[in-house]
Amino acid sequence: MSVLSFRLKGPLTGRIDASPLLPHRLVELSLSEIAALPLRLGRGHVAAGDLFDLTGSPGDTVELEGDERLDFVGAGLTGGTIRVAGPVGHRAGTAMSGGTLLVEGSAGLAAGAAMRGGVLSIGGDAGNELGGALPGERAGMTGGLIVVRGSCGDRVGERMRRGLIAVGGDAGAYAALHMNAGSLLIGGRPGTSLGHGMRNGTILFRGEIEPLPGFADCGLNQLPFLSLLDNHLSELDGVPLTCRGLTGQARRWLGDRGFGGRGELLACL
Amino acid sequence: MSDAYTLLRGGRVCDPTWIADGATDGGLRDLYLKDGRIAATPSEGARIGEVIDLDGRIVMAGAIDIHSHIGGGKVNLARLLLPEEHREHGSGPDGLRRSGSGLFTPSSFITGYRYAEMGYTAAFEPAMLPSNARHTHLELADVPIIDKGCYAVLGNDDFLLERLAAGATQSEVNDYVAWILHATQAVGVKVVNPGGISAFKFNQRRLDLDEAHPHYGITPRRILTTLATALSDLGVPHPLHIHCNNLGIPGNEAVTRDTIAALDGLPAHLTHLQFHSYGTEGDRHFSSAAAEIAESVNHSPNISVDIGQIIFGQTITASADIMSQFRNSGLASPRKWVCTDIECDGGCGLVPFRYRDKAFVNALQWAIGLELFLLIEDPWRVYLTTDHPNGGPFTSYPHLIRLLMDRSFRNEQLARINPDVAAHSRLGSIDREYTLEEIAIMTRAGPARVLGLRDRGHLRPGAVADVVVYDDLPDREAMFAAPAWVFKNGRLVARNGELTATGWGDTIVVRPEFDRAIERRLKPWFEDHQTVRLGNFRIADGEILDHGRGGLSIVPTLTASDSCF
Repeated sequence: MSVLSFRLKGPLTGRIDASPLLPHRLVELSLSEIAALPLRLGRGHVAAGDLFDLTGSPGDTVELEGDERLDFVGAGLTGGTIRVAGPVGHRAGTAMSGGTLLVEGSAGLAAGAAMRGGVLSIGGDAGNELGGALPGERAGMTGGLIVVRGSCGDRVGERMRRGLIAVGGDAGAYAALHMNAGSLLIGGRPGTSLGHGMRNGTILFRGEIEPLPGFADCGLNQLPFLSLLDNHLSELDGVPLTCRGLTGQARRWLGDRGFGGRGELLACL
Repeated sequence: MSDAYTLLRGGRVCDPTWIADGATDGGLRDLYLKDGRIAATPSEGARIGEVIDLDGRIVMAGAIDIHSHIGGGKVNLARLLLPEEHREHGSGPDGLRRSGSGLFTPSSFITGYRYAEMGYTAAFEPAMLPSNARHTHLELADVPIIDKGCYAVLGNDDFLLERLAAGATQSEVNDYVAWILHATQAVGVKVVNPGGISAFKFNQRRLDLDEAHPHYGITPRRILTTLATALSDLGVPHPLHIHCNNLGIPGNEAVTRDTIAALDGLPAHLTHLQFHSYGTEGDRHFSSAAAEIAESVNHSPNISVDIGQIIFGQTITASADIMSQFRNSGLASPRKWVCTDIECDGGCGLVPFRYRDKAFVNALQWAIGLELFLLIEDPWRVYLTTDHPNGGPFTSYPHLIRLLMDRSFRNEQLARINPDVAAHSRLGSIDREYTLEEIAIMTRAGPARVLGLRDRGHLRPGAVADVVVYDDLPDREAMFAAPAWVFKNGRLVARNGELTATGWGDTIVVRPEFDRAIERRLKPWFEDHQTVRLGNFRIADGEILDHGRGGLSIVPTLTASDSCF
């Protein structure tokens, strides 16, 4: 397996659009062609070779040294692996449809937005709109898996249609806003207005909450599917422990009835 | 100011208004440009700066788009509604161009660049709600190169309807119309679904010409004739720009013909006529009434029209006609739409739409538009539009020109679309092909005349030096898509369809005389009902001029001796 590594030569002078650095695109190029690849820097462009020292050879894995100003890392990824040592900027893994994006540090805004498939794993925290929808779109995430060890910002899983998001820490406000389907696991505390406008789908969390008035309390339930889900989670890499250990017992709310929704909030025991 | 002339030597000047003089052999003529104008042939010894040999290429005046939604509230809403269009079609700055995005609702800078690259040097935003006027002008101020103008939308505004219901005199209406033209820096007045938008707010879903408004009790006929008379009395060159009632409803051809009859000889412009020429015959109760409408237009020399041809593909319909947009909202593709009220003025509806060539209704709409183009005989009274972006983007004009000029190409396209259309339409049997001269009339001289632009749309000495040079290619689409040279105000702005320079055009306005006493009635109205006060509502010249970046060009009003047609 060949690995191509990008090591930053110095501090970045502006935000970089790193979306061209996808394994399947780079594998068709020679090292010198990759070094000449133009990357958007602010309003202009800069050659990849001027920003990064390149080592290794193009293959199905790309290793990047991370920076908070590297945007669009792995955006549109269709296969292969991108490993980032450190943080990434905004829109990491936007609209990815396959492959694996592993970020050891934190991610900025809209990581995994409009994701269709593949795996996005974030070692640190994620910003607002994790696994959310691109502005103006009717559907957000439609497939794939997002795993975050830390916490995430507001509107995680907005307009989600399918797929799984597991957040080890806390979630911000309006988690699963207008969710249509899919699953959101929150290992820590959920924020306010959980599930506002959701029509379908499942949000799992622990502890006490005060749900929005659009959610009907269905009492304590023994739900066999929770153990199946827990088995499934055990087969996935890197799912935070706080999201695991589902016993099958959960308090259940149905809503958001204000939107004719039949989604579930499950406070797991 | 420079004392040197630019000489465009030996072009085939295609200007239907040109009185034959100065022709060299083979109909080739020389054009002299100086100080942004076309100059008369200078005397011997005059300093000639640049000389461009045109080698018999075709020369026309800059084209004028009489009806194109390129700025203002609804275009902006359309951009917001379809962010994917802008995400997928963006371009960065390149030293000459500024960045921008969009295909069918391009951002303001891109709009100017694309028009200029196609040889268009003026475009008119047809639906400026008075309360949105400042936004519209600010946005058009960012449309580079081309000249622009706006039509103020009246006829559903509560002030006018209330005054008409209270028995206002014609002269009071005249003063109000003139005040609006001044205050909003407009060049004409458009009426959209007269009375219907207001009636929609009172839960009416359809309004015919003689149907009383549910609240004010006045009829669309009264609104139409009062406004058309007002513009005629005020001497505004562009007659009332009419978007008829019942847009898109099968059988609406009756209301369209009734509208023409109701005008009773008053000059008027019927816009996007294609959407108003539907019959109810056949199994699907949807048929072409193009022949009847064309006949009616042919017999009414007071009427000019533009077509609003549809072009197959994705676009978005943007209209003040909230009644029809709400009706069509179920057809939205992708499935999202917006309808909004606009304070005391009217409404606004955006419905994204994909015209499909295999769908009978869309394919017949396409055929109806072309039938109208080909059956209306006088090119001086029918203008080339797609009602951008409603029928398709303005960038499809070269394709449309080829459809009009090339019968075999047209019939090839007809054979590809829904096969039932050929049986339901007479398009296949129409032999007419537009000539280059007729194209020059319908895209230049005709719109200039109906807008009262005396120094645009032609190439006689004194005209603004908006000059377009085309290679005479057999493929008219390629020819009109990428003109060899485009000059705006005598400056080269595009070469072979690629922008070479940019700059700023004028805002074209009209300033009829009127009695300022109307403000005594308007001031309390603004205080009671509007969100801005009268003094702030008015747009000052300085806002358009913007320290020299913008320009104002005032269209002279008509006197009794002038004639619109």
